[in-house]
Amino acid sequence: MGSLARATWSKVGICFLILVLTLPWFMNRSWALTALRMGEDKAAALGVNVSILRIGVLAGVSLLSAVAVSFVGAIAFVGLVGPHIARMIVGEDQRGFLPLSALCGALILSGTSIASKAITPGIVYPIGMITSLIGIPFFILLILGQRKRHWQ
Amino acid sequence: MSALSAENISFSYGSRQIFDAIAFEPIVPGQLTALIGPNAAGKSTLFRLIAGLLPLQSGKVHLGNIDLDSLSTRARLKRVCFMPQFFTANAALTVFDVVMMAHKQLKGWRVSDADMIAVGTALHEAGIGHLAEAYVSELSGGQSQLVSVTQALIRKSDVYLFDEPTSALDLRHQLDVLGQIKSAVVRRGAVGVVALHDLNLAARFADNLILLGEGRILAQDSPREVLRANAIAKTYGVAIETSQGPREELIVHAYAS
Repeated sequence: MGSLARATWSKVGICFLILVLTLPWFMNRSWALTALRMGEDKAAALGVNVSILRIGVLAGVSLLSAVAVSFVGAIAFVGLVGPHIARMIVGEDQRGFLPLSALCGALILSGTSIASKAITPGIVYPIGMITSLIGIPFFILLILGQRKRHWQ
Repeated sequence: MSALSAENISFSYGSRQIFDAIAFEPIVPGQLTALIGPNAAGKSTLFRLIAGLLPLQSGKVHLGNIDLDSLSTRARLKRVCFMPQFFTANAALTVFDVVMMAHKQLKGWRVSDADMIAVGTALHEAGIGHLAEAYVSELSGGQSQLVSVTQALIRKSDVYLFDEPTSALDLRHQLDVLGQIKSAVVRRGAVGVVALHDLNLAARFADNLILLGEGRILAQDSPREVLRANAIAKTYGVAIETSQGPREELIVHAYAS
């Protein structure tokens, strides 16, 4: 299970560098990414090269998550909960959705990191445990919400 | 403004030949042209070929003197605005968001006051101002079609291709939308082609008809000529009679035999 115990400032620096390199590309493509949410056909009609965009996003996302995971291990549910909170706040216009998703993820990680150190003084719980404690109920709520929508 | 023409164009999906070296007469700007033909005649495919969303296997599409294949995809789709038949979106985007997206044409992160006013005006003119804050996932079929038309008309292009813009609309909105499309095409001096199933609407709004059937252009002329031709009855497999309506419009009657 993932833990922040192995984090050092130089690893943070590398993560930051990768983020600084990839984020401008994503922000530059934000209209195209929004267009893609209207369906491939519609996006293509607006001039989005869907296959190139797909590959680019896949590469960028793989790089970002690979770097983070290789330093601290898999910390579950941050990538699920963060974007959902951001979506509730600003909707899916990627110009706002993209940076806010990242911010929400960072906030969740910081919050759970504090919790993991504060619950029992002197013991640092693996942060993945805390994020799972939040994430699993959220996930179940999400599934129930989805099913409700289909029943209506 | 320049006319749209095609010569010798061929296309097939795998081994299934759709078009074999077809051509149409130049489609003049400032007029509305209706593309008619039975299901699976190739109307959407023809639009996609013109827009460059499908690759031509032979032949050329020209806009004035420009060979459209010589443009980049992005530049081509800026000149040729194509509205696909369907759009379904289960996204947390409002009608205002998606029309803004079409207006910005994927350029520029910042949205200016002028952009906001342009989108607001477009929504108002399309009669969907009250839907501005509605999520696209909550729209009815007809409403999403109105949004699609607005997305197309807010763009300034030389060619507008609408794939059945009225299929989910009630009577009043059918007339509204075709009226909007026609006046936009006339006002901007652009080439406008609308694929339609309703021959009465085609006869009423279009200046020219193109009849497509079995992968060929069977007729291209004024509505009066095309609707009276033998080709149309044969293609659709029905008997067709025309008459004069109470306001001197051309009315099409179809009989099963």
